Amino acid sequence: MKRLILILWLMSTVIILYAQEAKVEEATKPGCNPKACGPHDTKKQEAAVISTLREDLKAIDRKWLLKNKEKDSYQSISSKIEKGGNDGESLIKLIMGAEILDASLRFRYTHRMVVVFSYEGSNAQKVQTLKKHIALLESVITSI
Amino acid sequence: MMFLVLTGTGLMSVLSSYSTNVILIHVISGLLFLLIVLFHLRNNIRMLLRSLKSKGALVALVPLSLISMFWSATESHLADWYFSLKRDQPIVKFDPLAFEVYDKSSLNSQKITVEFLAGKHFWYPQVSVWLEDEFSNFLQTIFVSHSTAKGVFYGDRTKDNFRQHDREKPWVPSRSVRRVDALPYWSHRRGIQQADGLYAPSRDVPIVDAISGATPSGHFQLHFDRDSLRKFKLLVEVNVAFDENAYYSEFDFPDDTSYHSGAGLMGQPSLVYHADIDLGHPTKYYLAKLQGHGHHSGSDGRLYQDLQTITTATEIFDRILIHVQD
Repeated sequence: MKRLILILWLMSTVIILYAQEAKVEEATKPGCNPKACGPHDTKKQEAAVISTLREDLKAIDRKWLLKNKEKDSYQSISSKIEKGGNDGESLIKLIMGAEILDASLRFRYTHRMVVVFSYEGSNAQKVQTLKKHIALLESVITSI
Repeated sequence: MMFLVLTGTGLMSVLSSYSTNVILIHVISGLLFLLIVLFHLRNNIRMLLRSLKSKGALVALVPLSLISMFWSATESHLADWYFSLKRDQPIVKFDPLAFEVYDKSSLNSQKITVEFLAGKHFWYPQVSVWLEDEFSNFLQTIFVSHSTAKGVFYGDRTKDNFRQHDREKPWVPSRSVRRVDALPYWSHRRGIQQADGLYAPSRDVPIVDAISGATPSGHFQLHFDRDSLRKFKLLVEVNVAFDENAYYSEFDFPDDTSYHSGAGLMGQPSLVYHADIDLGHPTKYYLAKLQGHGHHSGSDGRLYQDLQTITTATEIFDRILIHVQD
């Protein structure tokens, strides 16, 4: 038993010392290795604004499914607006989802859908337009 | 053998410089010793209980009580003595050749050294270092990196090419741009407004060479003279371009034209670190603490203390250590 403990003690000490040395060596290397350092892989998650817009759009999609008593050809857009390969792709999916909802509402409530949205400019501008579009869709569905 | 190791490493940790290896051996040996004691107790519990009932146990308790009384009376003094030995030792010693050095001190003067250890997300950062008095009044700028000091940024650097650009032609401007967001907190604290209404130094009114220096490319040290001030604040503002995250990306701040134009504008905002220095105190080493961040596009000089949206920018530096020489 004593031998076993002695061996375990020696092994753990050697392993931890080796790891510690490697860590110190990494921290004290001369300057930052350009291959290892730098602002790469900094954006690990989807843009928060895109995630929020998706949730908003899903919420009004649910509302419209509840209120749409006519049982017309409208189908939920939830599956169509899932996360894309990148944020740009996700944004396009969201815009398309908003357009589908828009068309469904415009078909029956033309008089309430007084604004036409045009998605032009940078991604940030498209996000801004989509926010306004979702706000209009929500206000129309709420008022029905 | 365990006793020998524990005694040896214990003495080494008190009498010599701090060493993570010695402390580790000491801790591991201590834990294993504890394990052996527990194992021993489990195997001999009956014998122990029997002996506790005998008179011999009472005799053994007397020296134990005396030792514990002595320990409780002297523990705080021992701890004070130990920390007085360790107080002025840096935790890790680095090879001085591993650092770029910006020496803004004069010969034969008492110096203050600010040591920046590059972190995982360090990439040619814009840095400013300045002093404020204990009431947070701006005193003087100690150091500003070149691009900010001279108002020269490079329009050709983009999110997609900046790494290659920085390796091949880092300081060759082909189309300079007026950049306002690099170090907004410092530039507003400094309070010198340019002709175009911005606070960042411009090409026409640059910061003098005595204060500016090349943009750091790795660990670096900054030396400057000790002032007559006894108490002051040392502040550091740092910013790296193209470090976008979920909250600072091309999808955010659509109405902010400054954020969406120029070079290297998209990304997390500048971070501000500070340390309260008291030259009357025996402490010679101070660690700068993260205090907040600047405006994402440099539109104002406020310090934003909510750091929930800041992610990798906190890893531009592993640490900022300030050393005050006697």
